[in-house]
Amino acid sequence: MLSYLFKRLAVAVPTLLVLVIVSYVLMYAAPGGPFDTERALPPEVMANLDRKYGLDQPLVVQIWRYVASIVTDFDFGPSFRYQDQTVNEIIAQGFPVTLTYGAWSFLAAVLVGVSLGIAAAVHHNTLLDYFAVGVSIGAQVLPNFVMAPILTLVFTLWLGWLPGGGWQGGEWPYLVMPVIALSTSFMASIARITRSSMLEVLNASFIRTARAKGLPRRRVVFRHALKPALLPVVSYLGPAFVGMITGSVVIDFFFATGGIGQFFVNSALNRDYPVLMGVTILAGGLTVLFNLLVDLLYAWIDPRIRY
Amino acid sequence: MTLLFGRRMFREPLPPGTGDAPAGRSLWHDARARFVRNRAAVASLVVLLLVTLFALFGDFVAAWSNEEIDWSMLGSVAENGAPSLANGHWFGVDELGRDLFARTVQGTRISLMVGIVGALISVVVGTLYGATAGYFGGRLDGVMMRVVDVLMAIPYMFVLILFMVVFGRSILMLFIGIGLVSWLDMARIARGQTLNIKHREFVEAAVAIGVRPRRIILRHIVPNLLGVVIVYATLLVPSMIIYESFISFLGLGVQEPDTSWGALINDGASQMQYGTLWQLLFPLFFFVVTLFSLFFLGDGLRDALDPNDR
Amino acid sequence: MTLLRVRNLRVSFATGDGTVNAVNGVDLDVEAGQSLAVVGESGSGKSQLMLAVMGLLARNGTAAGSVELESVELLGLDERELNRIRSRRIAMVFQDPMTALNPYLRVADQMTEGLVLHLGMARREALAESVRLLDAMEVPDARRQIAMYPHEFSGGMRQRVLIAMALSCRPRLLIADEPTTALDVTVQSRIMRILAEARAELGTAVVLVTHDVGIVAGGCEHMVVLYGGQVMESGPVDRVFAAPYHPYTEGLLNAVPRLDRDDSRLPSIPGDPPDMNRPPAGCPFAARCPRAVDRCRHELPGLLSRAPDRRVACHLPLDGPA
Repeated sequence: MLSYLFKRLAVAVPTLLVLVIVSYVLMYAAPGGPFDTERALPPEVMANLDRKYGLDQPLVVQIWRYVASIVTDFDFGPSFRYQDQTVNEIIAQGFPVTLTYGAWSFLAAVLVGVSLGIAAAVHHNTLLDYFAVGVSIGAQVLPNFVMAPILTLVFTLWLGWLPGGGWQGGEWPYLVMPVIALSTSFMASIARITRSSMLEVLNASFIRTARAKGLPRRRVVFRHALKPALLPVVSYLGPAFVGMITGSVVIDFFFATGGIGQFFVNSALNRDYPVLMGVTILAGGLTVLFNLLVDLLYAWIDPRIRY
Repeated sequence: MTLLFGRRMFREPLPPGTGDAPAGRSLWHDARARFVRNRAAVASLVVLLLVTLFALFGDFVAAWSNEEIDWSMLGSVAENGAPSLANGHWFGVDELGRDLFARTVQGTRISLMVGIVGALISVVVGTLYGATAGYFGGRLDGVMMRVVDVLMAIPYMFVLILFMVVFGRSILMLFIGIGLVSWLDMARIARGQTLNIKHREFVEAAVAIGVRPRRIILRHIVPNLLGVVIVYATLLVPSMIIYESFISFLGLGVQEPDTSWGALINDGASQMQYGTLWQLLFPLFFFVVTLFSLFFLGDGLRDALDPNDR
Repeated sequence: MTLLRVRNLRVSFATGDGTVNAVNGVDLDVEAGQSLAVVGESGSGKSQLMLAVMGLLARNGTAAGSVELESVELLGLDERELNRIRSRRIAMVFQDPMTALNPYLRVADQMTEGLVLHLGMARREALAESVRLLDAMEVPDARRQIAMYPHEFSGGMRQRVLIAMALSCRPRLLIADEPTTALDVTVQSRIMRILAEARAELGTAVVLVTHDVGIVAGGCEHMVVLYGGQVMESGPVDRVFAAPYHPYTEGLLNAVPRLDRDDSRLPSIPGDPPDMNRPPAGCPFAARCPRAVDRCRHELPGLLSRAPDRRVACHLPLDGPA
């Protein structure tokens, strides 16, 4: 078990380092400095700015300082554009929002997706099954940036039930559309994966043994079939997490929820590199952390992995 | 039960003397027969052909060009800009008075191109990378696949956007950026398949007579990966289109006057409060229908080329 | 008293290529405490016959005819009613012990759940009983082993676990479908001995489904020979072995290696089992039968009694004209 964890960490740490280095080098290689504006600043001012932000040092030193300050102080440095705000402050402001609707979306996608998938598999070739398959095929072509306008069109413009954007501290009317828009396609994928793996497991030899023992169907499904049927779902959770954290950019952008995605897009339009990098590295770090959790979950379910 | 009674016959080894060539041909022949029987897949193929024709020749049909501004519409788009056969704006006009039919043709062209080019890059790079790793195995394989693991764990969309910001938002950068991340899955799949076939007789025979690895990979392994690669590539095209639309939806992808489905959907979404719904619905329709068809096509191809997969 | 009484059982499967008839009108009787061998090649329908008795056919399969267990008709019972009979009256051990145990649950969990559910034992009690059963199956260090996962057991040990599990609720009938096929030869005889001991001790009737005539000789009293989903011959094992009536039985017996003759060239039956998509009109064995005449290809022979306790379905049985 420990060696398994160690092996996973052996991938996780280089992943983060590669991410940091690549993004820093990208930024360093960018044509034009971060303080280039329409009106050229006097060279002395530029030099002062560069010194203030440490941009006059060689690349390697810059990266080293950057990584060191992240590791020791969790400090991503100052923003170039938002005056007087550090990247940390921006993240601290936006992250709770993203985390809130992100967590709800993740929960919704997993709970609804898994339940729908199990129900479809257990009632194979019934109306319920066809419904589940239909939903999961349909939702494949409805990524978040398609869902968001459609939902707004229906629930805000036509029915007038829900506000078309904003956050208001996360009150539920402001939460509904972001959560649905973000979770639908993942919910559909999870339902599809659960259904097909559950169908496969229900045909397994050990399920026949369980049925031959005279166990009620409920117990056969939930006690014997659920764990193995969930393994492919667990493997999918990592990519789903990446997809959701990426999708949150669209949610923040479209619904003006004020999460980190909104800062990310603004920074991208304004070439505010420290914020871009900070958000990218944060997303990468969360992904790596989440993947570690998924690996542990996988090992917990499948006893044959714990070596 | 089909395992016992139906498929038993397929599992029988071929009698000696049956060469590879006739079996190979009948395999593709069977695949085509199976594909043609799948009505959803065939219908999807037709739809995709129509969308492609639309992208290629729509300009010749359009009554307006995509850059021309219909000054008579400007300022009264909501009242007069709706789709109309009379004034030649079949899909209506956008908020700047440009013909939406022509804009949709333009966007379709770019979205399809990104999808196809992205998938091609991933096919070429991914297949070669995966086949090489799988064929040589050992430490090289370990290192190469670890690199893929590391790259896969990165939320690539953020890096892609960073990349676009640094090097400028152009279609070329979009191609390069999307191509850079798209080959990872393909590499894994190609490697897995290579591991399966590298111990087959024809590969070992080639090794035995001293054919060099490069040639074995290109002439013996890659052609045998083709079926899987084709199936996966058709499924890659829609995800490439989704990536591109995602970035363009945020305004970080293609830039005016160029456009794509994602940019058009974003335009339409930002205008829908003024009631110009056609701006949202036409691009959305093309996006959804094309993606649907691509998924069904991929499914059909998988069933046709890999009948044992269920 | 007849424990299991199967009459005119037919099993068919709806497949993409049409209906496949796996079992075509089989009669079978198992007396209480008896041991019966059901012998046939793969594809003879023997496994599907037993799955039909258990009510465990695949989704696309249907069974028709009659299956009575202690005078209770089993066909047509719903899942809930069947679950009251499974384990308590009738239990089954499957062919491949490597896949028949759930790899994600500890052996203890899998063994105790039947006891808790069917016999109403407390968990602790069920665990003690399971350990006792494993001890009886000669599983070494059962108390410690029972807390492990199936992948930590060898194939032979897993089969013991499965047999112990099947016997845990003291069923009147145990169906063992090729219980030794996937195991080493040395392990085979121990599993057979365990089955025999269980029968002697618990009075459980055993139906042994096998393609291996060799293991029938020592282990069973009665045998039924199945071919193409039909009974070809039935009777007491010793008498069938001494003088088979059906050419197919003879072929099977000749294919068994024996010490008392020169086996340098073991005869086998030429040809393949019939295609169950298109069953032949006459005797299913006619195409491979050395004695077949025209009549065999057109007219299905009935299963007729030829001697006390012995039946055969053949127009030209080996002991003289029909």
